Amino acid sequence: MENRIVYVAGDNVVTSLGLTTAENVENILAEQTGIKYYEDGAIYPEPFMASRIDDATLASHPLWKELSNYHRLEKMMIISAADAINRSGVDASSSRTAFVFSSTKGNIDLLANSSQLNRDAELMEMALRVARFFHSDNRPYVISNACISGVLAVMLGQRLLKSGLYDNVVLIGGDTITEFVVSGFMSFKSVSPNPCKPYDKNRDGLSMGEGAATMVLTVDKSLVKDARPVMVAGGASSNDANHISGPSRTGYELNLAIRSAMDDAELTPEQIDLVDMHGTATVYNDEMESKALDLAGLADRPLLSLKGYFGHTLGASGLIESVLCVESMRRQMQYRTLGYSELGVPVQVNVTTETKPAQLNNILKTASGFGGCNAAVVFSTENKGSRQYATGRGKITHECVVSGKKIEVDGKVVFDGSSAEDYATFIRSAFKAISEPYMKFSKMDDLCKLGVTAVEYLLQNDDLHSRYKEEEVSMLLANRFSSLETDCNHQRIIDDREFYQPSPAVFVYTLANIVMGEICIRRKFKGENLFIIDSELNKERMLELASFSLTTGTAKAVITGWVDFFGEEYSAHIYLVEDL
Amino acid sequence: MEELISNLKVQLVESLNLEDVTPAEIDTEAPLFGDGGLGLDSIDALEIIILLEKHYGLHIGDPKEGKNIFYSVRTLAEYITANQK
Repeated sequence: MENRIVYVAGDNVVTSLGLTTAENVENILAEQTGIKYYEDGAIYPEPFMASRIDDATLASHPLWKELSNYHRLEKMMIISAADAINRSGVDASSSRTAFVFSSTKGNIDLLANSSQLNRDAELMEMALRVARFFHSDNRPYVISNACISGVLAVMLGQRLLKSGLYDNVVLIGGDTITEFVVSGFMSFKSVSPNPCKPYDKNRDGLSMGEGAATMVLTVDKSLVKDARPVMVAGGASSNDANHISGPSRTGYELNLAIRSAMDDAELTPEQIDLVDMHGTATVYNDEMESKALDLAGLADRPLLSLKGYFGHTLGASGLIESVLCVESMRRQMQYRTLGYSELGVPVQVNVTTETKPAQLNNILKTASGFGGCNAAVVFSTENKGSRQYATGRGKITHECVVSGKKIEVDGKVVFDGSSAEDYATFIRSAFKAISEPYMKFSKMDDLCKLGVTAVEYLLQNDDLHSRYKEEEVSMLLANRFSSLETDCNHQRIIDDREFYQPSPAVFVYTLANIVMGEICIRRKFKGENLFIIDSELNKERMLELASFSLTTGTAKAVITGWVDFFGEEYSAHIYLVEDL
Repeated sequence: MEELISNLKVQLVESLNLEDVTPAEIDTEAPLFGDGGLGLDSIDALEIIILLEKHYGLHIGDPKEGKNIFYSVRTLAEYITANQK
């Protein structure tokens, strides 16, 4: 089979620094920040720093008048995607063009002070509305995997093209500043009162940001106008299996993702010209990243964080920053890590301190997020990466179905909780029937209890560790409602103005991928992680994605399938897929 | 003090969702965090800060300040007694 090469054909970034890639880069080269001081009670009762996009700027965009029926985030995404698609020359409406979305919270602002769920708050609805604007009939891929979503979008885009499933992919990422997310991050006490200072001795937390980005990928080289085309050469992800909010103590797992991405790209650490990490400027994230860089043999490579320019843009951040890395390769200009002045991480890393011309042929981009997830991708002007991401690899060896109050494994009822009066009683007794006491279980939200219990039954006779290493087991789950059940709980807490006290123990579960984090902690799995949103269980799609993971050579087994919980409705259908 | 200690145990079980532990089972002197004792984590520490604010009107701005205060139920109770107006 021919080696399909994945090119970046067009892109766009929308942040407080501008509505195009060029506007953003001009501001970054001029070392301007978009992080400002706000007093806005609609977002948070006390003053805060953030990077927000001025609505008047958005309204000045020529497309704005056509977008009155769309929610604010969708407008940002459409403005971004229209520009990128236009620049790329790719036919967005073609059946050969896939849309991949990355967002942590989508239109979550629709939950505020509302007694009934607006369906547009569902991530798939948001994705369909945006994809239809571009006349795409393909079912979009919607990634909601905390702060690594944007990097995973690049990784997935590369795989969808290399496998031959599509010829073009439009990656669209976006997240907005809302009361929902600001109150949550504030409850974690992880927001700095100042513009953030990545890797710095005096760093004291992140800055919130909002934005959208689009990257159009293609295998059709004739569409690429750059003199030195930039290619997506590699991608990988991993899980810490340590804690749902705190990063790994060692950085070992991010290092695994970095090494796999470099392997995929067929590059050695010495060939990496720059590493753009998550660099949120929280004490523990930056510390962990420095250790991971060291383990991956990259401690001496120039290290960049872009958070000082437009803050942490959540599920969009990986894509926004990837586009800006690609543009820095085109311009051969290295950015300064704004906010950094004196090294404050345990490993002697080489943080960029000036804006200057530099030879940039290979850039590694990473992200890490809640749920213990990590991801890395490699952009290159030289190396193509020759791995083929095949479909059809792997066989289902076991499956577990939780529906109603019954649990079935391989077609046999293994637990019948029909007498349980409600879900809480059912799931608790089901878990206790199979597991020794586990302190973390009672703290989990309903979605996580469902997923953890289903996997407990799936693997009851075989914990996989006798046959596989911890990094050889991947997690790849999907659902429709994301974390909406817990999202509504968090929203109820912040709608209460009398005792305004957002709960970190609730907020941490407002990310669907936390269920994979809990499973990875419980079962000590450190392989790839990908959580997608779909309208219903699409077995074929999940098996395709599982096959990609098995093709990497790192994964030998994949736990995949469906785990969904909202209101009275819940179900889990989990498969063990092995590379036999 | 004894009443405060038993109230605190009830509040801890409730606000930290410690379903498998009864208030009476919590050892007043044992470490709350890390291995042994209750095995609480960083999210629990943030929830204890909220608990102190909600039930006792006490404000701890920086979670790091809490390290010694949160050592055991006893140290928590002593902190509350010393700081409550």
